[in-house]
Amino acid sequence: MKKLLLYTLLVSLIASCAPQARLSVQRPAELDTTGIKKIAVGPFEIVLVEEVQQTERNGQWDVEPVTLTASQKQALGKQIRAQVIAKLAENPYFELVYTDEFEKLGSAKQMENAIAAAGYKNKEAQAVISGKLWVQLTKTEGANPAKQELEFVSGGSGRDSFAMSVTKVVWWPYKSLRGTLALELKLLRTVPTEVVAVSTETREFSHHIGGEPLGMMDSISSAAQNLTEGDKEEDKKSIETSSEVLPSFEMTLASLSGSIASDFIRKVSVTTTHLPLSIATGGDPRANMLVQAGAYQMAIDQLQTLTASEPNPDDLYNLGLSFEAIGEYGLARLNYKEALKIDEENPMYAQGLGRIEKITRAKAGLRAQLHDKEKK
Amino acid sequence: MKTNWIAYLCAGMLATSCAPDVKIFATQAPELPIDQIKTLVVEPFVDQIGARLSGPSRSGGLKSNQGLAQLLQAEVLKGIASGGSYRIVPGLQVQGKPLNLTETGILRATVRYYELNQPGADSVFFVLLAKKKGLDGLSGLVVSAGAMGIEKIAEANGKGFRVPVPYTEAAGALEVDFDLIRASDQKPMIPTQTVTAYWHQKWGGNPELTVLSPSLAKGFEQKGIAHLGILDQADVLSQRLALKQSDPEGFFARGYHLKQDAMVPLNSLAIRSLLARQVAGQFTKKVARHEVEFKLNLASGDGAASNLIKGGAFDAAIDRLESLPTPLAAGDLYNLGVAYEAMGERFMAKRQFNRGLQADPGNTLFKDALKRL
Repeated sequence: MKKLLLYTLLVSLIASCAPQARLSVQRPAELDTTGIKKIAVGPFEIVLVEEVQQTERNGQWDVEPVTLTASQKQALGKQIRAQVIAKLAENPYFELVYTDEFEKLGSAKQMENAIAAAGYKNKEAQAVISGKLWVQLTKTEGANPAKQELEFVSGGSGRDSFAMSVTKVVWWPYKSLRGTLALELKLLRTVPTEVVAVSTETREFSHHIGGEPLGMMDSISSAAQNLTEGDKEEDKKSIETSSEVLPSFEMTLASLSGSIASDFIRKVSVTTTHLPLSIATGGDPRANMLVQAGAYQMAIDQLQTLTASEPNPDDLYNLGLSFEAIGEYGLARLNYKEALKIDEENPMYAQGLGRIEKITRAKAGLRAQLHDKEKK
Repeated sequence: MKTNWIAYLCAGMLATSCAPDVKIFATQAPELPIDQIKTLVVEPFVDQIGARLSGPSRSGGLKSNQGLAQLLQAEVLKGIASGGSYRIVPGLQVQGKPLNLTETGILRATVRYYELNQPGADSVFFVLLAKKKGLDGLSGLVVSAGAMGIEKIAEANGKGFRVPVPYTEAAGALEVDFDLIRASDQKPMIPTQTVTAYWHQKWGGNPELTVLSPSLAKGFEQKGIAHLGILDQADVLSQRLALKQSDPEGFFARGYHLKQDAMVPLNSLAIRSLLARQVAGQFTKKVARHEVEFKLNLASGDGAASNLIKGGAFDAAIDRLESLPTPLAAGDLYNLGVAYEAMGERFMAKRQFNRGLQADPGNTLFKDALKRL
C-alpha cells in the first residue's frame, strides 16, 4: 500500500513538473450573437445584499445583520457593472457604446419594456446588457468543543512501559466566512427585440480559520479542495487566503463577480484561451528547450531535420506541437499521426491529435463568428 | 504534516481513479409535446408568501416564508435560452416584425418557498476518562476499545458533563407551479407542472437531533437533494482538475479556483440558488431542448483505437477501427459506435450498436447504448 501511495505521488509530481508549452487558441462563442457588434451596458439591479456577522459563545448565538445604506448598495451594483464593462472592453470583437441612456430607464424590466415599445430607437447600440444581483456574506466567529486525549505521564519501554492519558474537552476557536453571489446577465437585441443570451450563475467562496484539528476524512476532503484552488503565485485572479485573516467584502465580491463576467463573455463572444500543453521529454534536448522557450519556428527547423533522418516519436510529437502553436493544424495533425504510428498507445500523442480534431470541428463556427465580428 | 501528505495522496488517487474514459453530450428533445410554439414570453414569477407547501411531508405543515421568484425566474430563463428551442422576447409587443400569437407561449409560475436557518446548541454529554496505556499491542487494543464503548454508552445514557455544542441547521423547500399558455387564446398548452426540490443539512451539534418534526426530517431525508458521497466528490474533483489543465480560462470562469471549505455552513442564498437551479433544470427538461452528459467507459478492444478515443481523436479512431478486419469483435464495434456518438453522428452510432445487438442479442452494453440514443 505504501509503495502504491509513493508511486502515485511520484507520478503526480513528475506530471506536474513536466515541461509545458502555453498555446493560445481561439474558441467560438457558446451562443449565437451574429449581427451584434455594438453593445451598451444598461442597469444592474440589486435584488438582495446582505452581510451578516454571527458570533457564538458557549452555545449562545448573536446574529447581527450589517446594515448597508442605499448608496452603499448602489455602489456595489456599480462595482459589478464596471467589472462587466471592463471585461467587455478587453474583448476585441465587441464595440462598447458608452452611454447612460439605458441605465436611466430604471429597472431591467422597465428598460426591456422601453426597448420593446414601438418607436424606441437607439442608433448606436445593437444590443444591451442588463444585470440582476443577489449577494450574501456571512462571517462567523465561535468555538467548538471537542474531546482531546492528553498524555499525562509515560515511561519505560516494551513490556515494562507505562503511560496514563486523560481526556479533556477543549474549545477550539475559529473564524469563517462564506460569500455567495448570484448574477443574472441578459443580452437583449434592440431590433428585432429578443433575448439573445441569459447567464445566471452563482459563485461561492468559503474560508475557515482555526478550529479543531481535522480528522482523516476531513483532511482528505480539504486536501482535495486545495488541489483545485488557483495557484497563488501564478494566478492573480484568486482571492489571497491566509490562515490568519479573512478576505474583505470587496475582495470577495470582486473575485466572485470577475468569474461570472468571464463566463458571460465566453458565452457571447469568441475568446482566446491559453492551453498549457505537455512537451515530450524523450527527444532532442535542444529542440525541447526551443519549444519551452516558445521559439517554435527554430524548433520546427531543428526537428524537421532530425526527424527526416531519425524519426523519434517524441521529436515528431514536439514538431506537431510547434506546428499547432503557429496555427499550422494540418502539419500538426500529420506529425502527431506519425508519432502514433511508432507508439500507438501513447496517450499524449493521442491527446495532441484529439486537440487538432476539436479545433478543426470548431473552426467552421469560429470562422463564421470571426467574419461577422470583423466586418463593420 | 504527515497527515497532510497522506490526505493529498488519497485525494489525488481518488481524483485520478474515478475519471471515465470518455464524456458525451447529447441533445435531447423536450419531454412534453409543445412543438407548436416558436416564441416565448416569460412573465414575472409570483411569490405566494404564506401559502401552504405540500411536502416534503404531508404532516409537516410548512408555509412559504421567503420570496424566491426572481432568482428562480433567472435560472429558468437561462435554462430555456441555452437550449435554443425558442425565441425569447420580453413582452408581446416587440420592435421589428409583430409576433404570431398562435405560435407564442406565455410562461407563468407561482412560487412557494420555505426556509429554515437556525443556529443553536445541543446539550451533549461528555464522559472524560483517564486511561492506562503502555500495554502490549492486543491488550492495549482491547482496553482502548472497551474504554471507547464505555464512553459511548455512558454518553448515550446522559452520564457525564453537559456541554453546549453549537450547530447550524438549514433547510429549504421549494415548490413551483408552472403554466404555459398560448398567447392567442390564453388557453393552457400543457397541464400545470408542479416541480419541487428540498434540502436539509446540519453542521455541528448532535447529528441525531433536529429542530424539525420527525416526519419532516424523514421527508427531507427521502425527498431532499442527495449530498455528494466521497466517490461523487472525487468525480467532481477529477473533472475540475482536468478542466484546470485543458482550459484554464474556463476553470476560472466557472469559479473552480475559489476556495471552498466544506466545514463552513451554506448560507441561505447558497441554498436558495441550489434549489432554484434544481427546479429550473427539471422544468427546462420538460419544455425545452437540453443537453445530457453521459460518462462512458470503453469496452476492451483494439488498444490503439481506445487510446485515440480517450485522447478525443474520434475521427482517427473511426479510421483505425474501420480498417480492422471484419467482422469486428463486440468490444471494437461498441467503441466504434461510441466514437461516432461522440462526434454527434447518431445514425452511424446506432448502426454499430444495432449490428452488435444482432450478433449478440443479450448484450447489455449495446442495449444501454441504444437506449441512450
